[in-house]
Amino acid sequence: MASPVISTPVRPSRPQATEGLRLVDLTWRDHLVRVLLFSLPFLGVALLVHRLAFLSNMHAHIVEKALLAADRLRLEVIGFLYPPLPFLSVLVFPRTWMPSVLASIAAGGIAWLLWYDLERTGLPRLWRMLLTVSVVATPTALYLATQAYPEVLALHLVVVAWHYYWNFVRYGHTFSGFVAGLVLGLAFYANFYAFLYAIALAGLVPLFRRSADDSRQTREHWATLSQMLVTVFPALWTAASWTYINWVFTGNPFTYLAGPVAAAIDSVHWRAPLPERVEWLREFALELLAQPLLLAVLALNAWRYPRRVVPLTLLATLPSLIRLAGLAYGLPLALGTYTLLALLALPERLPRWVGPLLVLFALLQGISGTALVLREGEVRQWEHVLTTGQARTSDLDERALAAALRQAPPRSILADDRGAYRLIARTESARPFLLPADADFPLALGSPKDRVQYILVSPSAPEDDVVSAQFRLGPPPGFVVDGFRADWIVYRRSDAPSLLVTP
Amino acid sequence: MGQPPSSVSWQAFSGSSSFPRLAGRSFVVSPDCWSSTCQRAAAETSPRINGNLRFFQCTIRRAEERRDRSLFIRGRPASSPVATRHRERLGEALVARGLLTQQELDRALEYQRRTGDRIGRILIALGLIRRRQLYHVLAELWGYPFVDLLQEPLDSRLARLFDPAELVQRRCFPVRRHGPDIFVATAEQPSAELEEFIRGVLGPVTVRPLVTTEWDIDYAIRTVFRDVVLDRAALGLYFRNPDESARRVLIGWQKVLLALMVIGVVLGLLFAPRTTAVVLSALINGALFLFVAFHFVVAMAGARHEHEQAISEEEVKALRDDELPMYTVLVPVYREANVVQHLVENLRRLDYPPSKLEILLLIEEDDEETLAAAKAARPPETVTFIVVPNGMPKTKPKACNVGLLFARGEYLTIYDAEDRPEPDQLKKAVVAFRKGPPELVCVQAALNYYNATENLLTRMFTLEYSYWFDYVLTGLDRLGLPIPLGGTSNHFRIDRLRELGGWDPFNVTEDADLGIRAAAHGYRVGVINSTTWEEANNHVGNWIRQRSRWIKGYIQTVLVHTRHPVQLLKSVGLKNVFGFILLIGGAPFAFLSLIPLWSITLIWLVTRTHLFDVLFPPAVLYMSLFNLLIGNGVMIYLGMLAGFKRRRYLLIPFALLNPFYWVLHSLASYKAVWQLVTKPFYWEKTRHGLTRYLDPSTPLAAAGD
Repeated sequence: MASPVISTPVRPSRPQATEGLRLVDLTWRDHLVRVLLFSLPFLGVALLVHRLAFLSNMHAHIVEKALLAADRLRLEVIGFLYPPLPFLSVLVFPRTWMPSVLASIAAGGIAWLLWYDLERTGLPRLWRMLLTVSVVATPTALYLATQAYPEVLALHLVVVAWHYYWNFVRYGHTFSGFVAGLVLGLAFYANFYAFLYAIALAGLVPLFRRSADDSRQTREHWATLSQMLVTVFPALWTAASWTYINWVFTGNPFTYLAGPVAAAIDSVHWRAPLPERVEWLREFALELLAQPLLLAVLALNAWRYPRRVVPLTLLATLPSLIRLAGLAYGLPLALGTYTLLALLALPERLPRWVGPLLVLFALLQGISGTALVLREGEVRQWEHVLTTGQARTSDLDERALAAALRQAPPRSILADDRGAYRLIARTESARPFLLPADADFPLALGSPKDRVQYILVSPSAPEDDVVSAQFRLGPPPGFVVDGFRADWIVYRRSDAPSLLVTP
Repeated sequence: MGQPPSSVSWQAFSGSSSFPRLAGRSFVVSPDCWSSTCQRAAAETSPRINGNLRFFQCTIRRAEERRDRSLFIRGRPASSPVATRHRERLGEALVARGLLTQQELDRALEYQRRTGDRIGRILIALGLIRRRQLYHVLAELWGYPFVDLLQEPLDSRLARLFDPAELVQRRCFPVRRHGPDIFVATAEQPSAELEEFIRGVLGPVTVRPLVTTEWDIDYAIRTVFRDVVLDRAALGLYFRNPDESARRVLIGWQKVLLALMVIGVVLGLLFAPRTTAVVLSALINGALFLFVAFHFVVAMAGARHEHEQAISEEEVKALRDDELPMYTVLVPVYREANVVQHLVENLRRLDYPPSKLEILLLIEEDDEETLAAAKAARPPETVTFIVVPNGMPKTKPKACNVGLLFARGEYLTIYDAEDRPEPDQLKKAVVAFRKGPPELVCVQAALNYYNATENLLTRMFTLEYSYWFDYVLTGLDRLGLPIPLGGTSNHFRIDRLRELGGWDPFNVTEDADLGIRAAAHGYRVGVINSTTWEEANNHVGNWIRQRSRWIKGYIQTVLVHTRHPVQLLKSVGLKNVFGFILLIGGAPFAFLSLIPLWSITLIWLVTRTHLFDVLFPPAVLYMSLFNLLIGNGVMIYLGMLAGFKRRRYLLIPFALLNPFYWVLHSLASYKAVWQLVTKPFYWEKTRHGLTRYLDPSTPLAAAGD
């Protein structure tokens, strides 16, 4: 039932209010249908890769924590994992394919929004379609869309926020400012960098803002400051809230910055001396120069809307600045950010001849991005699995070991999820494991024979995997080696049945 | 009984020369119009007439000064008027008698062409003639005598045979019986309909019309029906349907339930303290979670449609003055002598034909100071003083009910004395009612403050009001949920308002109650995009008084409308019940729980005690954290956005101080609960006129910062 008075809504006579694309002009069902349609290619790739047993570390972390919380029914036992949004959404049905499916839908949302936003350019539908396809069908985009759920979710939210932010700063839609701020605040729960983007977008309000005809300059300044506050407040609030929660439950307010899923702090680069950081600048500059689409869009802005060039350039350099500060901004994420920024920053009402040029530049950017991103370990492995159709041996072994561990009784396997998270994720249940989150864990670590039947140890586990660290050299008294599988050793209590040998 | 009205002014034709003079003045009676009985009676009472006719003497003196004897007309105490001069038009008659210049008449006629209103009303509204002068001339033109009901002894027994509401609407008053003759004062041209009405009540009688002003009629009704007016205003709703009135705070089952709850909690704390504490904590945190989520959804719905205007400027411009209905404006005042002058000035700014505007200034009987100030302000003739009979409860809704009885408009609105409505607000309301469905009973305009920047409190209050009226009410409107009306600037269809029983004088937020009652009766309330600028409370003590009254009223409203939950559910549906409970019941609940919850947080932060761990099992803990960390942030943010929408940029940072402002709310809510127990109907009067921005010429009125 709608308003009894606003039966035939009328727009106000102010012309600027009717400008711009507004997401609310479509119903949520319309949006949902389009998002699902745009998600289909990503879903196809995600399920194919899942069938080939590939599981990224990031997704394994999320699924493992979701399994643990679902089994123990306490969120705080996992130390309020950051970022919570991907984790909470996977918690609904924690399986290894779930983050990929959700990531694909988030990517579909991005693709739909890009397509929707391209309407502003006035380019013919053909060129808009080719442009969208050429930026989506790249290894970087597909990897992010299927194997980096927190990052693609954050990008999705930032794109949504950008849409509203633009309507807010350019057209003064209060509702848009409200939503932009809220979405940026929410995006902090998907990825720490959303917080930095919120600060950046708030800081750039004076540069993006359309100067009003208002002759009262003081009032204009206050209006600008208000817009900045409205943009950044939710992100500041959510960051402060999460910091508070970390302080309350862990004693350290910034634990989350080094969380395993989407660590903001790169432990190596964080401690790098300043001269070394200056060296990185050259690398970042080359990386930026390898983004022809982004450079072309900046040029187009210089031609059509020169005022926008400075803020857009600042945004384009943000990934570099973040990495310069020693934070971990992955290369796929950086490349994805450049591409998104390029499309979002396209000026309005472009001449038709620009269309083919943009497609060409997008293809070039895709090629250069692929060349850059395939240097990296996990992305390269993913690409290999996808292109060859051959599963990695380690993945198959992990899957087999996980199937065996699933048979163990509840809390019978002593393990540390800081190292064993992939196995736990593949087991698809945290029930068989006794983990650091459990109250009995310290006791079991001191006297495993009295508490557990099996111990899971990896020689290559990280240092903070205390179980592996303690029993790496051999089984404790009362235990024997049950078997080796996928870089893992399973110790079995002498009286317990073997998990790895089928009778 | 048995004698004709003693203060009837038997004014003579200018041409008559044989009429006796009374008290040496040129006040003459036309004996040929009278029956001999009447003549005798008039002669017997002439000393009283002499004493009571000061006004007319003044009129006569003025007329003499103008050397125009044509003022004096001849009355005729019969059911048929004197035919003489009946073709003379009112305007011409007034000009001929020197009461109006030709230019003034031309101006009034031009106005009449535009508005289609009656020339008499126009002349009064434009201030071209005094009401009494007009009716004297009308009496002459209609051929009936004029009677001064302020001086005339009234026959209460006769009058009380009639329904006062009907007398108000028909603008007549039975003055006196004389054998089979009934002398009826009327402010309308006597007609067969009037005679039928009188005979309908009294049987076969001869109706003898007398002419008087509607002010005199109202005065006579208020005088004779003082107790009836008081009863109807105070107890009308209660007698109509006691379950809709807050006169009883709790009904039977509510008392039982409350007692059971208290006993349950006490026993629970005694025998199962841990479980009881957890259950209480879960209930409180769960309810707060729902409250925050509901506010967020409603505000989003309101914000989403910010670019859709209920009424466009084009629609207002398209209105023709002659299509506009009579509009009644109620202005209840109490101990507000200092703002009356401003009220008059503010109402003058309304863009509505003055002749179609009826402004009723409702002044309490014991408030002589305000009455004197109101008189001294020399308001235009469209302003009528209605003295509200003294009696309990002494509340604004009771005064409004009195006003409603005397209202003659098609639509009605309420303004506080210091209000500055946007000039086209009444027209927007008219458009809204015409656009809206038949069940649209009321439209609410937004309220905001002109003294926002006066101090910290007014800033916070302005942010709160901006949020409430710009987002919450709009959101409720868009979602089709019941809308609690604001204190003023709610515009009603007057017939529907009467059908609903008017305001509940025992409910101290009668406006919110009425909005919900309207929904319960199947009516709709809408919002219009117009603002009334008010005075924000700028003093903490005064603010607490006002807020505690509001919160007490909200609790009363919830208690009243949940008396028959199944019936309520059937009549308005689950969604509306849910919305009503969360909005009206949620506010007192949230503010009552604020101090205990924040105290626990503060104690824990300082001491790190594990004493409270028991209260927060995992699910409750997450909800509590959500409320603390997300809920508060969202509410602060909504305040910011509201400020932004109103372009009050300087206020926006103050939204960060909302948590401190909520502590004030919490204090007020405890006071409200205490008062609900000790003085449920006590009206905590908010003092108005404290701001230094009271002067309507202050430029802050509609501007942003």
